[in-house]
Amino acid sequence: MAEIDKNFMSTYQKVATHDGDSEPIQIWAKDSDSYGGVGTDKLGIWGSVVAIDFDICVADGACVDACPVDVFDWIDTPNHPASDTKAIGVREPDCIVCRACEEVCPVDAILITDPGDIGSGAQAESAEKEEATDEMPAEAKTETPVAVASDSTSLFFHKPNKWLNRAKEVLDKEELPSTGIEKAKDMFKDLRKQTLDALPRGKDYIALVDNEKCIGCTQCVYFCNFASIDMISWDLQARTSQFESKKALILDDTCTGCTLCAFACPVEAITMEAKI
Amino acid sequence: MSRTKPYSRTIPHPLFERLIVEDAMKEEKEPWKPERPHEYGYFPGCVDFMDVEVKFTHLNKGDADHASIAAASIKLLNYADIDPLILDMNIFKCSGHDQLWQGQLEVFDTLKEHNMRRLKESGIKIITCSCAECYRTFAVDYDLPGTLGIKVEHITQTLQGRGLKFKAPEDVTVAYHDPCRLGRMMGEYEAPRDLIQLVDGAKMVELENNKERALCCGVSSMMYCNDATKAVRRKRLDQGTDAGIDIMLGGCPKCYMHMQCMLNEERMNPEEGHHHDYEMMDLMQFLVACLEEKS
Repeated sequence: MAEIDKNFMSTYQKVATHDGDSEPIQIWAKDSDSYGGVGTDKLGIWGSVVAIDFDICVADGACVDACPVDVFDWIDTPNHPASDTKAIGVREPDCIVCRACEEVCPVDAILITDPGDIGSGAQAESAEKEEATDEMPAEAKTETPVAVASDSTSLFFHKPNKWLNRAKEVLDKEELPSTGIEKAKDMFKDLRKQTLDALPRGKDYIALVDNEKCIGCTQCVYFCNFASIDMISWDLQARTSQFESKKALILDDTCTGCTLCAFACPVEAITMEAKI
Repeated sequence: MSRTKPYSRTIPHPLFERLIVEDAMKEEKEPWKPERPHEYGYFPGCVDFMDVEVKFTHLNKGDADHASIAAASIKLLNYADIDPLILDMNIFKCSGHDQLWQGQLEVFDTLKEHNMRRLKESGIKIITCSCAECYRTFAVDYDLPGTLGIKVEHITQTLQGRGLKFKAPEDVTVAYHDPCRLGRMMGEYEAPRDLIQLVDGAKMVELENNKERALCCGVSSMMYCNDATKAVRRKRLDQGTDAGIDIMLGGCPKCYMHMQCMLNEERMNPEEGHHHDYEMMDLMQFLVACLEEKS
């Protein structure tokens, strides 16, 4: 068991719940025998949107540090071989799906699922999120209905990658030598950790763009999970007659202070500032 | 976030380029020796760096799998009875193609020096890569045939003429998209086409612009992706629809990455009405999907 099962919502069963701060936390296990309750060595996956595989979690605490909205807390799990305490998503409804915890987890025990992508098991918070999407720009809004119609293999929308899946099937059967390209993931995690350490973040902070430095590359737009960034033309002197110079603008009402845009910016034009 | 490293200030580097620069600056001087001598060496390139980037930016919406190009290449080399030395990326570093073309010459020189030293230690006679950019960089910018006497091959050239047989699981119409580095720069148009011809059940058609007149994927060396480059890519994808293909095949992970990104973007915004009802794949992935069990 190297990492959390990506399809646990279809392959695992709901076996129990645990009290969260406002809503109960769903506990998943392969079957009712694979869950022994707190105090045993069989704990299963805790949470739906913020799903943490307690059998993998080593209580490293990276997720607790990384979370910009303080979703996590600690729970004592005596007698578990991996660790005697686990990070638990007690404030799961607060999750802003920035996936910072997923990236920093050293054992890949966390899987974040967008509440809109959880089918029948959608909790009360997905209704809240849908209200929020109504205010978002059209691009983000269209994603939700497509996602619901999609097949179970894809979280986002239907992708007819029939042939690609065939190739993957063949390759999955093979024992191929290591190529060392896997190191990229760890390097990426390290870089993300450095950013998280260096920047203030959370609900009390907002990203600000320095127009002097912004080169209009749209990298931050791709990284933002909340469609909080727009490219705005400021009637600036364009370099050529065909080229319109645009600058990024952070939308105040949807920015959650998750630092992803600052992480992505190639020219350090985005800084995190305290909200007044 | 402290960036003391010399990043260029005018070109937006995606994060994976930043990682490659970071990797380049790490000094590794210990000598290395492969366990046994090999004639062929296979260089996987930076495919997994692209994977982490597109997964994090949601650009490929979760189906990014450039790493399978490297796996497929090794599988095919084994299928052709070649036992390549895997030029492990923990030992080697990125070929530096993007850094060279972006003008980060210092970074490129560092990468080149490191890889040249490692290639000398490896003792291989022929290096083969699944990436058209690595191929060009090794052949021209490193000048491996002239400096180390190592022959540089694109994997399609290595697999060409080895009596391989493939069978498509179902009848399929494919077209080959010429990567600029392999086609116009290195003049290799036939090897990939020959390989496609070997697939029983695959009908190959030519796109409107092909070979030396092939259209670009738009974002060579990750320079910039904007409306203009997207327009070029959409034009190329339209040509695929016109030719009535089921799969468009590329010979370079970058073409695969950018075309896939565009196809996903179109599926995300169906109201815009741009839709291409076919798949983009790397040639190696397609051949692996058509592998026949050896009798």
